[in-house]
Amino acid sequence: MNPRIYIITILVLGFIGFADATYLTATHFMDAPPGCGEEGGCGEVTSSEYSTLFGIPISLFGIMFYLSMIFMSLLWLDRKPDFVALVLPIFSAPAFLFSMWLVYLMLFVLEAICWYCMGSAASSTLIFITSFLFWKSQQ
Amino acid sequence: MSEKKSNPALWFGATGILLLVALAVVYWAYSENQARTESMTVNTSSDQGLPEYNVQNWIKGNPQADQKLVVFSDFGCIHCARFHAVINEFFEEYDGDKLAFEMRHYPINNNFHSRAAAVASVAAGKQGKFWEMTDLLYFNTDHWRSENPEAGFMGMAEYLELDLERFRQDLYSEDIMYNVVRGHLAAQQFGIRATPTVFLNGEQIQTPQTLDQMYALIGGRTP
Repeated sequence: MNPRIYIITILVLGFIGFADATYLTATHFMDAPPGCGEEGGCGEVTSSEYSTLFGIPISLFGIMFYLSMIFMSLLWLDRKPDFVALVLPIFSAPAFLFSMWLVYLMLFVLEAICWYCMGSAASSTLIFITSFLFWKSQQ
Repeated sequence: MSEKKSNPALWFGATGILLLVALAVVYWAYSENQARTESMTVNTSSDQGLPEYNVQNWIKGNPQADQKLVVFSDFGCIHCARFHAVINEFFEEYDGDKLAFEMRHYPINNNFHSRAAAVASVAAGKQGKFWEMTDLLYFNTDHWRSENPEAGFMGMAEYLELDLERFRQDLYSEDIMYNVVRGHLAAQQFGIRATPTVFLNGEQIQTPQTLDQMYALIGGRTP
């Protein structure tokens, strides 16, 4: 498959994840729980003790991660440096593992689900898979 | 490395889209928050519709007051503590005769001992210090959300000069624990899912976040 398709997929997922994480960060700083319907547990999740790391909201780390993915994809589209194929999976693997940890916390510890957080976990998972496929295609 | 020339349009375009997306999302979050604040209106309907169960009610203010505010709350939940601070502030200057504020336990995070905290508040209530204990529990969660919550509860009881032996007995009283669980289950059955969930005169409302919002709800800012 054309490697461009992988990169454009990562770019699109990066934009989606960026929008999602920006929304979560905005609601964090506005002190308002994200709106997610009557049954949603968004407030419970985003106000839990797990929602920040070293006093920084986790969604802010998300923004930085998605920005770095977007930057790497653009760099490849622009100049096609070889290292991008290696950097993408190396960056997205820890993000993927961390997302799994957050999903675990939501399902089994907090027992409340925040769909925006799930969305971000899904996009970082897809980014990891796509970047792995891209790396394989470049071998 | 390839010999391709850099493509500035790609970078400018992507940066532009990023900025637009960020602006749109922040604006959306902001307007959603505004709408939520504005949707809070004064309700005067009856007290119907709340779950009725046979546990003691903890009411601050005048239980006979026309206005009745009920919160389903968890001692371990940050937003509940924040709301409780607003309530405390409100009762400091508001005529307590005009409002009944009832707290119902909804210990949603059982695994952080918040059910035990609910029991501790009732145990203190048995010695007439429910609200004093409630304040301590909300604002010192690190003392009891720990390996040894009992030490935290006992420390608070000591601070409130309770009868420690009796308090410890009540802390492990099955009766109190079952009552808390009964209340929790009834509320769950009724449809409460999150904390804090606030009812004013039987109508569910958005949780007031500031003193001004409290006055907007209850009415009448006293000098």
